[in-house]
Amino acid sequence: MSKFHCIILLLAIFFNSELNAQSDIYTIKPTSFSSRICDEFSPVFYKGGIVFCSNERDNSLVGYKDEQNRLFKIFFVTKRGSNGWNHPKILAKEITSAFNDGPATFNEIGNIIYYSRNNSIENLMRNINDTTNKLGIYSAELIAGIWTNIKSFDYNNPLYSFCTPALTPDGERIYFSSDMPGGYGGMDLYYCDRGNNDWDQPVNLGPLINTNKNESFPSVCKYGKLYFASDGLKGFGGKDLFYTQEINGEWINPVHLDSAINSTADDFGIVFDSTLENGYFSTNRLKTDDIFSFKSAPIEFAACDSMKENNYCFTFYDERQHLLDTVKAIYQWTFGDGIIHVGKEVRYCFAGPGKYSVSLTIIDELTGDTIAKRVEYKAELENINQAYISSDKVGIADKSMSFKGITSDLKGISITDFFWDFGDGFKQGGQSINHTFQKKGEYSVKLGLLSLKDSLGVSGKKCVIKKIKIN
Amino acid sequence: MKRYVLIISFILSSGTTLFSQSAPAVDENIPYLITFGGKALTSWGDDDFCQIFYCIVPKSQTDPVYIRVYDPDTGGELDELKGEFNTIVNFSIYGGNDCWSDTTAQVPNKSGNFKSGYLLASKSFGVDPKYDKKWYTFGPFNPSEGKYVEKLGGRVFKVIAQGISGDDGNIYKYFLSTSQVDNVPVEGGNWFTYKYHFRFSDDQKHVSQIYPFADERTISIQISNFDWDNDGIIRIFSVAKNGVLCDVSGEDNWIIRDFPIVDEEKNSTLEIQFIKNQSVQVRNNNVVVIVKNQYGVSLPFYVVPIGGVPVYTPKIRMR
Repeated sequence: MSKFHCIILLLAIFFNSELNAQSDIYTIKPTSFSSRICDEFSPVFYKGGIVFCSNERDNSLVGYKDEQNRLFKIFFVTKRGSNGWNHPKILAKEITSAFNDGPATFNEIGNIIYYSRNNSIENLMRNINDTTNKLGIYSAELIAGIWTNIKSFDYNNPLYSFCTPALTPDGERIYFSSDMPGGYGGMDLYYCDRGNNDWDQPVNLGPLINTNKNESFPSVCKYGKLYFASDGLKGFGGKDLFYTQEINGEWINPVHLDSAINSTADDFGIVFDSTLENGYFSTNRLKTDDIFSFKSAPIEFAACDSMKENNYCFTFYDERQHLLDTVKAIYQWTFGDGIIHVGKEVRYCFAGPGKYSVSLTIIDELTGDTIAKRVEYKAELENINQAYISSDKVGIADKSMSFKGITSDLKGISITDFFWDFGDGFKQGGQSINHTFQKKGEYSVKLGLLSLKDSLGVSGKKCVIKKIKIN
Repeated sequence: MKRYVLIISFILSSGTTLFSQSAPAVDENIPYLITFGGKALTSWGDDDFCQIFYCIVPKSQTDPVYIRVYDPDTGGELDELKGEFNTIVNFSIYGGNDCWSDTTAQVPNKSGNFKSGYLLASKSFGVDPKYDKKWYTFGPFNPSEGKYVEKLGGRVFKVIAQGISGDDGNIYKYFLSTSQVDNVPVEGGNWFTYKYHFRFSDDQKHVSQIYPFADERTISIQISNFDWDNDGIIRIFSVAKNGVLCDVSGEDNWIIRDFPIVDEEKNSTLEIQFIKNQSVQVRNNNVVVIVKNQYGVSLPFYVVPIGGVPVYTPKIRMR
């Protein structure tokens, strides 16, 4: 084989593996609106289309010099037909500055935008290489089709960058990255919860998430998963995509996304649709930043166990007494609640799992003497080792029900993903979820769980089914 | 068997002072022993007119000991009169190697050679006011004259009270003493019998109890009681029995009931409790009790319970 042919073959292998990288889970391909010349990244869903950042020239905007295509604007692209895309356009002139704009994030109904941009936009002739013009986060409100009321984020600081904002779907929390002091080095991820009128103080996501390098490009899916890019966490090289989420009040260890998504290049700025199966992400594996689409095969959970209700009610008895039913004795039981329960067999319901001390005193019915005095019995109640669906068992059609997946009883397993199948055709993700059944009937609600990948890169699966009756 | 030996030896040889060296013991709440004259009717509460007791003198005791009998005569205020007092009861003390053996328990009655051993002392008592409600002292006895039994932790003497003639009931009790004239307990001493003949208190509120010991071989017991006159109830207590009712005998008859013995009860003392009828008073009630294991071997009743009075331990379970 000639040297020329070898090069062609290697290129072909590289092209196939990097451009159309596939795995058992994901299939990916570049979107048609991504150019090979310009950069496009940080897609977010907006009004049926996609808003993203790009340094593509747009003739509708003039007034600054950007000969090297280094300034980014917020673009919007809409679908054409079932598979095609129209030509991207600037999202809105009123939030387009002469410097860098984006990435952007929207609230669920799309009338509030938060986006990054350079803090100083007054001097059109300002040198775009001026690194003192830091990025800040800004918001605007869509009123009568016009983005108005542009506001600076409360915590913007001209000395540090605040960028890549990501709003939660309910708009009650905003994630962003910043290099402000107090972090773990480089860009760190923070969040602010919405207070009464303003955003509360920024909270660093902590050392489990943040490293001494850069964590940025957060995005939050509807079910609480936080995706982000890091070049400090262990990955394939460059920026890699990870996700984490709060389970039982704690952030789980970041989970490295599939090898089809992550590459040795920079991979960042990902967004999932509501099924958590499809979406878009940014990558420079083809030299320039491009937006790729991805599709994942639905994760199937089979052979699920029926959920068992935890039982905290027990009948206590003296095993020896059972053989001796002629004994004239008064059995007095105490369970730590100060109440004496009398009977040779007593039933008692504990509050929940835990360690309890049961005490039995036996009084001779004939003589009044104490036969046994405060004999202790240690009861240790544990929940069943299973995933638990916390919800009502009965609901009403067209009325929302809340479901929560509780995994604290799964010993030694770190859960990374929650998948819900409500048995009525709807599938959703997330630890806590609301769902409305439209019709009366009995439904098998399935909760599927993925655990951290093992040393072979395989995620463990667990699932449980709970019957729900809808009246 | 080793464990049994160890337990008994520990009790007898430890520093624990066992002061109840009367038979019956104070804690048994039994007022007196009883032996009727040889011509009495068994319906009066004595099936064989003979009571055999053993006393244990711990091996640490080297000074002489005395066996004292309270009210050994048959007459006066205490004893049970049938017509006129005409009864002679003989008390005899046996020592030597043959006075006790492992097979002794298999013949807790007058059949066989119940007078085995070396006769150390003997005296018969009829009506004699000199001994009415007074102590008579046998001895001194050199402890070495008793049969040394390692598993009992000491030397054993046998005391037989046998009704020779007459039909009255001789009511009495014993004391193992280091003094000829007073009741000075032998530290670590004890009494036991394989067949307990005794007199109840007439007080209906009195609850009496006796303490058979189940060794490690015991997997069931057979409790026999004679002539209880249906006077209330009999119950069994142990670490695993909290007052199991036992069948009670009526007038002049034996009644037998079997009970299983669980592992926790092996090598431990049982308690047989007697509660008198609270509505009808039965006076002068005498009873005989035997407890045998599954081999038909009688279990010893110790007047001072080995290991203490059994305390029932419930086995709490939840389901």
